[in-house]
Amino acid sequence: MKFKSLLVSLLAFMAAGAGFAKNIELLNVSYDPTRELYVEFNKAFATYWKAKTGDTVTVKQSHGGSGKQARSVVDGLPADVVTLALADDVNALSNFGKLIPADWQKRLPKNSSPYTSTIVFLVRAGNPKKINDWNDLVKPGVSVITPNPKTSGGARWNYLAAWEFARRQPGGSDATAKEFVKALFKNVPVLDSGARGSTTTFVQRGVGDVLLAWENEAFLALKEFGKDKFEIVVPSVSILAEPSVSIVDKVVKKKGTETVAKAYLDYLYSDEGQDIAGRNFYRPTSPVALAKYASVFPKIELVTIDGAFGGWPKATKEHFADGGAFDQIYVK
Amino acid sequence: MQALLSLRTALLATVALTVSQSARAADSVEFSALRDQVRALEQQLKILARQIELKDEAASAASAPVVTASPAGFAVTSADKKYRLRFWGNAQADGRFFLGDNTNGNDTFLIRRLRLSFEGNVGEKFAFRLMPDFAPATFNLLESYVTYQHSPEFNVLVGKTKSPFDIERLVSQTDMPFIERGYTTSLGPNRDIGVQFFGDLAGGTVTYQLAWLNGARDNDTTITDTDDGKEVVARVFTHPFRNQAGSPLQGLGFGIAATKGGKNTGTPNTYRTNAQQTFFSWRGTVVNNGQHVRVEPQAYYYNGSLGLIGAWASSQQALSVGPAASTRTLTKTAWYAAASWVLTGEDSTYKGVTPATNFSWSDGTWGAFELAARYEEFKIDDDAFPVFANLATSANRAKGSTLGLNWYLSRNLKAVVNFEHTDFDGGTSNIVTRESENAIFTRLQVRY
Repeated sequence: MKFKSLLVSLLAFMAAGAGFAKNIELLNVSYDPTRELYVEFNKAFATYWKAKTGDTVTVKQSHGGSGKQARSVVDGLPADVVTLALADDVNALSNFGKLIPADWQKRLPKNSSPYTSTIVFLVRAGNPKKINDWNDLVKPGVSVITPNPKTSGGARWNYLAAWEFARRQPGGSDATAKEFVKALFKNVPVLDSGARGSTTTFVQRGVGDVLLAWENEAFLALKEFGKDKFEIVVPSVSILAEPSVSIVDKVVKKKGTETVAKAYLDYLYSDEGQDIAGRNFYRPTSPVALAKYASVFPKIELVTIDGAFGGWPKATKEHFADGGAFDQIYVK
Repeated sequence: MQALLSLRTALLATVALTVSQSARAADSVEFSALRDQVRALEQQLKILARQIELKDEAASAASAPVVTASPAGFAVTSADKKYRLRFWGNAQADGRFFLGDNTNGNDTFLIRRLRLSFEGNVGEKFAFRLMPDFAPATFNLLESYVTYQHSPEFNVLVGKTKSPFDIERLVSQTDMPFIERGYTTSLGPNRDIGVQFFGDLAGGTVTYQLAWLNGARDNDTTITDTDDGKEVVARVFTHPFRNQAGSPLQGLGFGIAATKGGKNTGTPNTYRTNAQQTFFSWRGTVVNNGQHVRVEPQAYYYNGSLGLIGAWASSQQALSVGPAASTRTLTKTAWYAAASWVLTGEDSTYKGVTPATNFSWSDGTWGAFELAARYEEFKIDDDAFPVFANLATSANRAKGSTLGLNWYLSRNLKAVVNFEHTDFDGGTSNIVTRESENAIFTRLQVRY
């Protein structure tokens, strides 16, 4: 009898507890320039989730060079979700950490890229070095700021966009592209580990004539520091940068946050999520939001990683792996 | 003349103006060049300043030790990760209650374990561990060893640690699904001092341990070695499907362990039920007197929330009634099979259960719950009676059953209740069979 009473009490206790609103904490491990985007998005998602479930969600953010961030998660940083600069950094979670399934990219629309961006040039007001396209970056006396492709996703996009520009020139080939990128990196005086560090180098420390920047980062610099300080230069060709997102299955299963982590990423594709992306100078993927912000983003020919480089695994192996093309051209 | 003068004046003025303008133009070019030089120098300065800034940041990040406090305990790690000191402890507070009015143990509360563990890495290849225990009442240095980590395939341990024999013994006590270990553990050595070689082979699918130790009694720890006899312990355990992701047999492991050595002094140990009550004692004159051989085939299987584990053990030992008497080799055998199921869906593993959530009333989360059951038997060699033991006071067979419920409130806090039932053959001076033992054990465990 006593045991029965205890069991009934226990069940009642559990049922009562289950009815209470929860406090949930997520960790979003992201790359350098998304700080502002996710500050705004996290607030919106918390409001949405509270209204939907009554639960309070607090999302902590971690930012750094995309490659470094991926390694941290593989090494044990308990990220519920990753929102990294490129799919290959998310691949690392599957390849080296077995934290997510190999087919993670199929789980969300648009290959798990809820927003895109590209690479543009940020120059000082008046464009004193007359930098208009990629070939201006290899001229003597031009100082170029870009982060390190070994640690930064943004830098890999920069590098590949320059490579593809050179390959498209008359007589262009991988060999000429390699020489071109080698000449470009000869003009790079400082290699930061992440895109935000490079922005600091260029914008706040006044180093360099041109910053190869994420489009959103360039717009943000204009917004913060004014058009009298900097200008955006749109090159003739650039690359479609597709930041990628995923839940970290092993972590969310362990923490019991799978449902809310999935909802968090789904919300990036919602009307509000897409609008927030557009407001923060990321190119939305939904047609409605893209049309709304069409006037913000310059028209530019964009090559894709799959089309121009055969996908990330191939590009990584050929260019960024130890002993790859970048190691061969950048010897300091 | 006036006109000439005017012309001369005009000429002079023009020449002067021209000279002045040329001089100004030259100044302007020079000024412009200087300005460019200053800008270039300023850029160089800024580049150098930024490079120094980045170098300082990198150096600071590279040299600063990392202090972590996590559910795994406290740790201080050098920036290069070659040096590390980790500190954690665990405490177990038990309530033990015997059912029925028999002569078994008394109801009691006790501190079963109060342990601290200091573990560290000294450089890339060496590690150490010190683990004192302060419960039930006295200080006891349970573990003290140094390991040389040559490679995954080959490592050397020197010092005092668990003898690599019984599969249940080798699970950390904090991670076991039951409050007390079972009968096969009683037949194996506990902790011993010596040297061990160990490693993983074939991509981690085969684990081996080979040890040369002082030689501990059954279920006992070497504190002081009293004879020249040493014991060799060997264990091979394999997980043939470990690397086959998705295979239902991925969590299958099986192996065998054995010990062989000589014990020529001291008395053999007694044996206890899971409720920690002695059910078998040797006569007071019985002593160790020769070879001691043990063998234990062992296996487990973990798949999702299900855990199965079992072993059969035998301990053959040469004993005599007094050191000068002729010896007799007596065999004790035991086996057990246990099953566990995590009700809340987390994975069951050999190394315990990690709850998906922590218990929190406000968050409505409950941690993890696990049910566990074990059946086991222990048999003493019939030849032990009556010369080496008295059937009137010692049982020759025990059959134990354990039912358990574990509540993992967090990774650090666990509450357990076990029901222990044991039946005996022999072991009473009044009736043929010693009365069955029933007990409820409870435990609150903190590990941090």
